[in-house]
Amino acid sequence: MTELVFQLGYGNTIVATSQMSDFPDEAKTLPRIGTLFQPSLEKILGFAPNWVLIDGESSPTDFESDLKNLNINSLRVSIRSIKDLFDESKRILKTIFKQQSFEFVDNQLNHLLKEIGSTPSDFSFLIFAWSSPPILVGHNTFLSDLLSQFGGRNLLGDKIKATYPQVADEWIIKHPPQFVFVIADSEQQLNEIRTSSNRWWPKDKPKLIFLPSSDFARTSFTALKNLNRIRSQIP
Amino acid sequence: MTFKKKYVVFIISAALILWALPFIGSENLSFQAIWKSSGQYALDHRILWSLRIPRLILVLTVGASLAVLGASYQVVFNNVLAEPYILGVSSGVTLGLVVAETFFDLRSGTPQNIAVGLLFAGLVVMLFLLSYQWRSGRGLEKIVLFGMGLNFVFSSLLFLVLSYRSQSLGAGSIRWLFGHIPWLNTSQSLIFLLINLTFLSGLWAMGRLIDGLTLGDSVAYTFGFSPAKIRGLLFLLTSLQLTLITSITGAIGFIGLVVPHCVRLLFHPGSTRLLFIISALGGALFLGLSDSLSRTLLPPLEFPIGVITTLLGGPLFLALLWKK
Repeated sequence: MTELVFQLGYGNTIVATSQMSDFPDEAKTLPRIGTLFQPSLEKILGFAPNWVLIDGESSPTDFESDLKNLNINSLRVSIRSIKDLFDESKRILKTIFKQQSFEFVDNQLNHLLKEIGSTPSDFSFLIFAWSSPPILVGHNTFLSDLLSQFGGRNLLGDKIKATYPQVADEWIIKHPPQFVFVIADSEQQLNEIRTSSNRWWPKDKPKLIFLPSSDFARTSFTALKNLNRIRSQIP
Repeated sequence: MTFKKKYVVFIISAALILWALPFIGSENLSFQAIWKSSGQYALDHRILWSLRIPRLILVLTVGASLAVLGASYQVVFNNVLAEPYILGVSSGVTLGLVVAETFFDLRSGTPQNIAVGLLFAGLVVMLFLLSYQWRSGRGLEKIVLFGMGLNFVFSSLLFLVLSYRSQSLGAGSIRWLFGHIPWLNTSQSLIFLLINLTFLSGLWAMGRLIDGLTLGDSVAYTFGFSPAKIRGLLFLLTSLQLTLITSITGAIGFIGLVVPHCVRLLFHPGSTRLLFIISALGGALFLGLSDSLSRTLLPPLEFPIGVITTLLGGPLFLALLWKK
């Protein structure tokens, strides 16, 4: 969320952020108000912000009402798809920064449409976040939605509502995808999935594509900047 | 129902469940996949023989071992609430493994990672034995309380590390808290079985001595052995086995508590050895069924096995208590 505000051009208005908000580099020096899951109301009060931007996916459900009781304005933002990214960005610009034109957001949309091209391909995929136990990235997520823009089909399907479900090995064996995307911090994690992949599908080897967490795990426009990494590897 | 009939029913049910377990999972397998490995049966054959059978060996071994460990703790500490995880050994191991993984980037399952886990377990055992030596003669409940205290400290530290880690690495942490059955191959599962059988044989061999302990320390002295030494030895043996199990599967709760109690309520075994045998069979079946359920409740999802054991075991235990 911090990165998104920087990308929207208002990074200089942020007075504090959550513990693990390390992107972009400028965010690293910002004061911290606790974790996303457990923000400190005392610290927030100390900064006397005009607005608090809440990550709807991770923050506590009663956080908004706590802030309201303290007379602090808040805006809860949930981004689970590309459409959400554009819509919510515009909502932030309009509600907090009172902006009426959305040039940056529209440019990003044009960039996305250009990258996708006019004829999206058709391919099946699974996104792995962990190998043992196998934890996948669900259909109802930003990353899965991003891949589906290229014509990809998350084999987990939309019946599984969990964002990061743990899945049985035997189901994985019986459902070999064409592409395996690995969202990871390091090459080591990628190698672990590679080893597991060879066990799951010794014959039908899917193509493994490494998506570094630093580029693709965050719900901001950063993933859109790196679309060529996906584009160059899928049919 | 007479005891003889109960045993017959139990053994027949156990045999039927054991036969059915390999065919219960998130994917439906054909029975012909047992012997046919080509064509349309190839995938089912592979799932059955390279995934489900080794998994079943591991699950049955862990279930049997945890139930026997629970039974022995309850007898040794003369405490009905004693269970394998009560003394802090597994929390120590788990903390060690997570610390190794989080701060030293030693991935789980590697010898270095297990070595750090063992080091922490060793620390707990040493603290406990020292406390036992110190507390000797002052009542077993204080030793159990000391163990519970250690357990709380290690569990809190574990949560602290995991709450830091879950934000940086995201997934996978839950397996340490609620258990996970990893995919071992058949030879790895058989090695695990053999090592556990060795530990269980040790407990079996001490069965008569444990019987002596149940009669009280003063009676045990008249039998010619030192209860303090026997308890120390038992603690060492069970801690080593628990360390091994926890380093593979994480913490799977409730089996060690609920299975021996259910066995006592249903069968009233007359000796510790009989208690061990029935508990082992009961624990194996209980964990086997829990594992199958974890994969069939909402396929293709697999739920953490510790959650299922608690969900199944709690009501079962309450029902038995109510009935009795």
